[in-house]
Amino acid sequence: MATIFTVNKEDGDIIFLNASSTLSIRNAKDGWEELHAYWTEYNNVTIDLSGVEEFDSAGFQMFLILKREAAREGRRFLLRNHSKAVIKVLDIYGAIGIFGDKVHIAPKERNLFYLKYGLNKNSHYFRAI
Amino acid sequence: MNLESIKQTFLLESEELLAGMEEYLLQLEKDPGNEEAIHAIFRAVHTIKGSSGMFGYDNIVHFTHTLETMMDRLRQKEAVVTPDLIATLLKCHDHIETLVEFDTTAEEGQAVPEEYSQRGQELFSELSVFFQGGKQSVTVKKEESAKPTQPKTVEPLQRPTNGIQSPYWHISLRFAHSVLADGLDPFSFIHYLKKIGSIKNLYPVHDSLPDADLFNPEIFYLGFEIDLDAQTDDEQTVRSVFEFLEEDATIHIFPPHSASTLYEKVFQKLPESRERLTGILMKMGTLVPADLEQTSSDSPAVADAGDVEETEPKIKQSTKDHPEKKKEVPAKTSGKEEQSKKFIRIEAAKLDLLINLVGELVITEANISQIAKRENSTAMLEAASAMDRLIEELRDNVMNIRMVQIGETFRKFERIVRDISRDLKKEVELLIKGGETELDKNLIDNINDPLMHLIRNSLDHGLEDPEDREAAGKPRKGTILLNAFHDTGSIVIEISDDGKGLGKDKILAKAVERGLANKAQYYSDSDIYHFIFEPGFSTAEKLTNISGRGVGMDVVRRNIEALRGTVDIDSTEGKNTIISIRLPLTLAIIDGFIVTVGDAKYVIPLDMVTEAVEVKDIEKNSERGGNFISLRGELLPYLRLNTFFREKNMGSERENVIVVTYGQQKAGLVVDDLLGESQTVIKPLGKIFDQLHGISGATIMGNGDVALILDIPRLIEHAINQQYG
Repeated sequence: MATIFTVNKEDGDIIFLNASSTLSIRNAKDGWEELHAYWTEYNNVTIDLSGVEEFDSAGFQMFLILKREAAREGRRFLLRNHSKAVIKVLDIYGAIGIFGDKVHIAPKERNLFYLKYGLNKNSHYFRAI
Repeated sequence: MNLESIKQTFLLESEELLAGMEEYLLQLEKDPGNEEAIHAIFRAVHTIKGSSGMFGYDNIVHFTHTLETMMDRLRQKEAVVTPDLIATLLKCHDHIETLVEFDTTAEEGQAVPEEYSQRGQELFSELSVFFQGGKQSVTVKKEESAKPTQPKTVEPLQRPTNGIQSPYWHISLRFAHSVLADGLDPFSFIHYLKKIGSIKNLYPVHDSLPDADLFNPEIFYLGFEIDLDAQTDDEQTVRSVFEFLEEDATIHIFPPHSASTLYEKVFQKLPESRERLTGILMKMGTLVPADLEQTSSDSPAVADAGDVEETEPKIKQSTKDHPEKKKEVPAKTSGKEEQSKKFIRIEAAKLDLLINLVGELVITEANISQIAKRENSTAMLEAASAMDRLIEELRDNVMNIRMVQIGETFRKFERIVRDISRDLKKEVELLIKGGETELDKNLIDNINDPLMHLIRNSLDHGLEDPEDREAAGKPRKGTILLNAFHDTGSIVIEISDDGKGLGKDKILAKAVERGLANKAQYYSDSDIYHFIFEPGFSTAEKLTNISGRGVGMDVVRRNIEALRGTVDIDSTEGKNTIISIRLPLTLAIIDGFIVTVGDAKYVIPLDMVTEAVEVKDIEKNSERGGNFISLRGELLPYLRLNTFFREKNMGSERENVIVVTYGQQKAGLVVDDLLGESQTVIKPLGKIFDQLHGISGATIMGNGDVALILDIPRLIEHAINQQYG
């Protein structure tokens, strides 16, 4: 079984993961199995997404479900160092910013994205939807 | 609920409104500057639209909606009133009449004849000529200018006359669970939308996303609602984006300004509830409350889900079984005939005349009785007493004609409560009690507006948001109770809610601030609550468009007082508010108790008389020198009528005290002599007596004397106040 999430460091009930280059329907089943195991074990999970080159709706859906669960249970599920592939999807799905994570986009590239839709400005994702 | 009888109500109501509309149109023709007439026509059209929406008469809703918009523009003076315009409007009036007649007599499921909608289109193009100069705010106009090269074609679905306001395309996507496994990524399709326009808003509908434990990562659970600003007006262009998705998704595409009915239809096909969907679309800005108003009135399913369930099987039946359908037709029409035999519509004026005549008859009969007594003729006395009995019966029956059950009026509020609570995002249940309580038709007509205002107040200011209610330990769903019952000669209508109640301190502080109350003085709860009836009195921090416009509480009180009624408020902060309206049972004839004060005769409504007692030396008996007597140990404030009305003091040693009750309050009225009971025809006093206190009307006695009818509620109030003063 290919490892999709590797542990960067752990600190008590917090774990920092690095995502592999693919997070899509192609490895969604394995990816979710791993991610769900970490999520069950650790209270707070943070994923570094800088290495993700292939990302799709299946990946998005995984994040969405954990974001929702975190919001419900008062836990944390954080995404950081979003790669362009990830930003592209989150952007279309209106999830940038409201997922609560910092997203870095070079100023000259900003006009390529919607960034966020009017609806979701200033509100947490699950309060917005 | 009996659908047929409700339909009948709709028919009667529409006929009335249409008659009014016609009258005002004719008035407007004579006097083109008559703004009141324009408002009245607008209101008539608006009301017909509203009630036909409740029955799902879409054709009427469509027509009246556009007509309403036109009338609104006329209100804004975007067109000049000319005889030609009036003629066209009269034609529109006739068209509504035709539609109403068709809809109320049509078989269920029977299609609306093509010529009706054509006729509607014709009328609109005729009408639009008059509005050429104005802003292009009518949807019909927009359509015409959008496609100037094409000849007039009727495109009922894509180019409806009651479109929503949003200028964007709306796309609703729900995917098959297998979409990802089939190698399709919803993201890429949505991303592709960028090629034909710009996404204005996107809402991921995640309702069917399961909990993490049950989540299957290879299934796609999300749906999307998208607003798209596209540079095309061809639906095919938009649809082509999703060409490869057709089999793996449910796709609904709404061109800009689509009919709200179209949304409504789609809502029923989607897995989420209608409430949820409208909530989403409102959050996105796709729909605004005004659109929603249409939407809900356009759909019978929304107006009353219960009815639809009832009617649906019928439709199926009649379309499936043709022979049966044929049989049903004559059966139904004969039923209708029966219905029309059961009810006769009578002009209210004729009824009023009849009641007046009965009133005169009562007076004449009293006269005859007196003559019989004077003549001391036994035979004649007997005949007179038989006549008295008959007239009493006649009176009761005639009065009964005017009596209407209040339930129908109450039920009308169900719809309003639903709509408003949805707008306010509150969960509210309306309970109705005592719907069978009868009261005079005039009263019902006049009580409608105050009731509406009070209900709106309860919804807006009384009931809290579901979250706040939960936090306060109450059920999420608030309750408004409409209750009607008879009580000592009056009818009581209660509007109560289990909301946050009235803030006593806040009201008092505001009253002090406005100079209505004195800080040092003691006020009872009821006194404090009554400040909210002062003109312009409001403690609300925010005004909403539900209440805070239209009539204020002062107008509510004035309306009720004009009906010789009173309003009372009781409230427990944080728990509830109960507003009770007390109205006299009838307006025309009452049983009266006649007393003399000095030389004059006065009538007390018999229903309010509890007892008559003889008291010796009242002043000496009164407690602590105050204005009350002890009646079997109970303190009773009293009022000397000969002092109050400045009549001669007869100076008798033993005096008669009539104990009267109104609501919770009691008082004793000191009078000189008791003459007994008699039927009393209430005659209103002239305008110059408007300022008179303690008198509510006059009546003519059998011997031709005039007696004044006492206004018991005011007198009791006076007796109680004087006790403190």
